[in-house]
Amino acid sequence: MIKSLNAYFQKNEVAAWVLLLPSMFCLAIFLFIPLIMSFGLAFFDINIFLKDAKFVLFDNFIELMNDERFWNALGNTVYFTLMVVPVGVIFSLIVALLVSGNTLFNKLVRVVYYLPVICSMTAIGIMWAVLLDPAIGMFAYWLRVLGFKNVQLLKDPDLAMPLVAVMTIWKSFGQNMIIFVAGIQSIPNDFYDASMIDGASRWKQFFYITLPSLVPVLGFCTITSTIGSFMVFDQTYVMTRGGPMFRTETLVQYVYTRGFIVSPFRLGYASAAAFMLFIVIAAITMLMYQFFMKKEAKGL
Amino acid sequence: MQYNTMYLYWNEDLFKEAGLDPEKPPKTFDELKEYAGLLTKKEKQQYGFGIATASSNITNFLWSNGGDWLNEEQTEAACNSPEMIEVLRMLQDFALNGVTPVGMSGAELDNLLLAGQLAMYINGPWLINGCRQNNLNFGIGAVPAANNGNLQVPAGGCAYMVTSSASEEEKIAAFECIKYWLSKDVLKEWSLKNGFPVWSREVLEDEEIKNDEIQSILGPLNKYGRLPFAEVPEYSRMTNEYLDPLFEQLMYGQISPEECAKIMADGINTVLKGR
Repeated sequence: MIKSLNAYFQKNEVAAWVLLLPSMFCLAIFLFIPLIMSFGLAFFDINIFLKDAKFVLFDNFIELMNDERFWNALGNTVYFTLMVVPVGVIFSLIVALLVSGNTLFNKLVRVVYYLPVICSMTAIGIMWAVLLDPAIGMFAYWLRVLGFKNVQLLKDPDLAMPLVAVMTIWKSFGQNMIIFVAGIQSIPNDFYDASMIDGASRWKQFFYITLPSLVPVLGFCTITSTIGSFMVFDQTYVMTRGGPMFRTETLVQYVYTRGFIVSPFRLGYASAAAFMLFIVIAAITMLMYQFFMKKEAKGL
Repeated sequence: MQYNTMYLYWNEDLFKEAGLDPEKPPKTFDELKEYAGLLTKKEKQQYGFGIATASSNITNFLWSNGGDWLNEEQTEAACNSPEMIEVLRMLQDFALNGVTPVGMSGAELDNLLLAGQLAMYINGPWLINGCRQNNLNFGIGAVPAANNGNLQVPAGGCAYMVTSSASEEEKIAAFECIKYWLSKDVLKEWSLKNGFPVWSREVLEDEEIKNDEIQSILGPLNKYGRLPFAEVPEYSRMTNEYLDPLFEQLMYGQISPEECAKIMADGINTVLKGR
């Protein structure tokens, strides 16, 4: 009997499951179960103490549709994404093209540009908040030296979100840059050699060889950047707390505020808002994925 | 456990530079406006009087001016009043004239004061040690009263609580801890080291306390304190949803004092109705 048990556990599939069990256990407790609970909570009117739960079906969602602050938060998040993703991805691509050669200098530059990526977003956010402070910040000082009056920077309702976007691009462009470098380095040199024989200029090489080969990488970077941007929270919470006047309040921050900060701590309502975020991200991701699959199949 | 009101802090060096007597802080609203104007130097990023963007900063001005947030029974808003509108106008003028930086939190104003870029502001006693550590020549005293001399300031404090699930032993231990805390020597040491005002009548009579530079100022100011929104548990929701955002809009110049007072009153009533 021991022999047959032994044989059972030697099978590949069974061994795989057994080895995966510890990770699956952690993921279940911290990811899957809370995720399912969150979807469930959205249909209840329940507070943070999980007492007095009332099943309200779609009431939370209907209230959400009429909630001005929810739409404000969604708008801010979309605005943020529209600034960070195109600029960030294109900037990363340009930098990647410049540092894709395998010289020592390039390798050093890649490391330096990647450093902000591995730093804590909260720490970087606090540092930039001090730099961008209109009263004691370094940027404000230099702007005044250059002659600008009424420098408000992070306290300016119109400038706050773009400044947070700039900081986010600075912090995270290294990530996409590394992936693009890998993609560029995997393009066979024969293509470029052949094109040079045909007399192609650098521009033509870029548009007809590099870019089409990078479409899957571009797709991956754009989609992951978009998903990450929609879930922005750390920077806005730490740099501006959602101000001034809620101009930098993002959807995740609104969920957090509703559920945990402002009494009466409506966990059900916050879960409904989080559910809506999930739907938005899922829809946009699927559309983007279709777009890039088509591009890959057809070629640019 | 602890009781404190709000006080006016001022930078004595900046007072001297502006030609003002560092021993004579502004005593009335008019004097405050005058001094703040003299102490604001835009070229040097120096602000005369800082106001954080939290609606609690309106309270002392509102009360001194004869107004209030709620009616006496605490059932309805009373802040849509001429007294409130006067106060809001004064605060908005400070913001629009650059006397105070806009959009700052209390902590950011603390930094400004310690950096020597803020001449005056109102805060609790918790910055006293910060000022001492940063070697700031600071003065501390009573908040400016209304022009007719009326002064009332929000008071606060801290409380200890014992959970209902504590065992008998834990409850007794907590009691012993509080007994230790409320002993004369401990209260005295706390106030002398921290700058927090003394509230125990017995300790107020102590010679060291009477002669201490800070305590001799703070002790007599206890009588101007009054608890804001006492017995109104919806206070936090009112502040987060209506009072703070509306005050922020006022200080950014987006709404008029009249609109602000009205929408604040409507907001308070909305929350109270949900009781």
